Amino acid sequence: MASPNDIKKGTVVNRGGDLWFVIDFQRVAPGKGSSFVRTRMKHLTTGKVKEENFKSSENLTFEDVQYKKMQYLYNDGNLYTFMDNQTYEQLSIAKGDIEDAIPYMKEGLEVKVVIHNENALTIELPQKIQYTVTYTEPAVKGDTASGNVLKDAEMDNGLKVRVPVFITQGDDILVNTDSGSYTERITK
Amino acid sequence: MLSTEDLKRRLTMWQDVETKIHAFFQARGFVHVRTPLVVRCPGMEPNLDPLEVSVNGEPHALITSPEYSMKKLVGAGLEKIYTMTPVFRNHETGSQNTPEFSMLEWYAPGTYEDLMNETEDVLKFVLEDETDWSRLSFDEAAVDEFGDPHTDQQRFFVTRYPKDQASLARVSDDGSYAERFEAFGDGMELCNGFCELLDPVEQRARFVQEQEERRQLGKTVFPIDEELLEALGRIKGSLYGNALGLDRLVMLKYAIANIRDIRVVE
Repeated sequence: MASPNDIKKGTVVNRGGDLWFVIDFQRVAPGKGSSFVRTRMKHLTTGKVKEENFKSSENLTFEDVQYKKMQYLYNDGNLYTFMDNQTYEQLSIAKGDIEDAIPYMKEGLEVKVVIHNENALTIELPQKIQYTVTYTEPAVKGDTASGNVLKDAEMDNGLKVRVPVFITQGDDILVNTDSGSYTERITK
Repeated sequence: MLSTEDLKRRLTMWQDVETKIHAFFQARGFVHVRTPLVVRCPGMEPNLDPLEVSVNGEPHALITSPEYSMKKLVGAGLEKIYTMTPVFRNHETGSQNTPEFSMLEWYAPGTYEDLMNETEDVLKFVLEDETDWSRLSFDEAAVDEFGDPHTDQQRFFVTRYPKDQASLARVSDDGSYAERFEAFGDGMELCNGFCELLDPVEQRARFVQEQEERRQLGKTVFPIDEELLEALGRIKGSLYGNALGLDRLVMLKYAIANIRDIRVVE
């Protein structure tokens, strides 16, 4: 038995035989009322996403899963192939199992593959991923006064992100994979 | 470390929100107060875990909210006060929670309606968005047992909490609901406002009960803040107070989903 307070991203919770993968969580102690853990979970076979809250006092069953660091190699449309850099072992995961991660994929990206009973279930993306800006309009004169004006930009893998006006083509930036939003520029 | 442009960008967001808050409250005659971060008697709520520190060998804790200090200032005769301060709550993590965050808190004489109107005014002013915030009753908002509302609306207040969730809010004159409300924006809980209960006898009973609950949970039991109880007894009339998460307000204004993305130094 485990406590909801031990939930992390990537924890797999067994709810009456159904396996739910924790995509996101918040540990919340409201000013008044009892503390709880708010989760967003994805069903490991149907892919259905739901939000569920657990009181801190509840008992949960966590599934024993392994997280294996692997590098993304390529896809053939439906199957995405990853490689273990230590052993050169390769495995493939169906597109449908990593739907949310697809826009962030780029060659060589290091991810954590979630393995349960020797089956690769899904992947966990890094919190932030670095991309190179391949296209964005130059800042319009006057915009730079406020650093909070955003403009469209396209990354080296085709991902589209709104970026601050001081970003120029060729800059490397970090994108938050929770929200798909700009985080910061990499200082060269 | 962030690039200079990113540092400036993040600081500009904070500065914008903080400057507007100062302007708003000072135009309404509020006094900006300073409150201590290290105290002997932190918030007693059983579910909160204050960060405990030792000062000159004596047990202390970092504040979970400036509430007690501010009520002491009201008891000392300051009528309308506000502050923006760091607060600390251990074991809170996630994309909208960190153990250290910032709180805007204000107190003034007035009614439940006054407080809701003022909160809507400050939100509109800071967000520079005149869209009205609808007011849903606790039932209309379908609030679940975790305090989460279930509605399609983006920006709204949940009002008229049931009496058993009054906490330290006053019960309405007709006795049908607690004078407490919360504001929600883009799925984030922004604030918790009360028409404050000012009865020191009832407050003491509540503290004793909270001490007992903490003892049962195996948590540190903090001493009762006697100065606070004394101060409550000196407050005349009706007092409202609101505690608003400043980080989340910045996130709401600039559409930022992760609280870490508005941090300046990790």
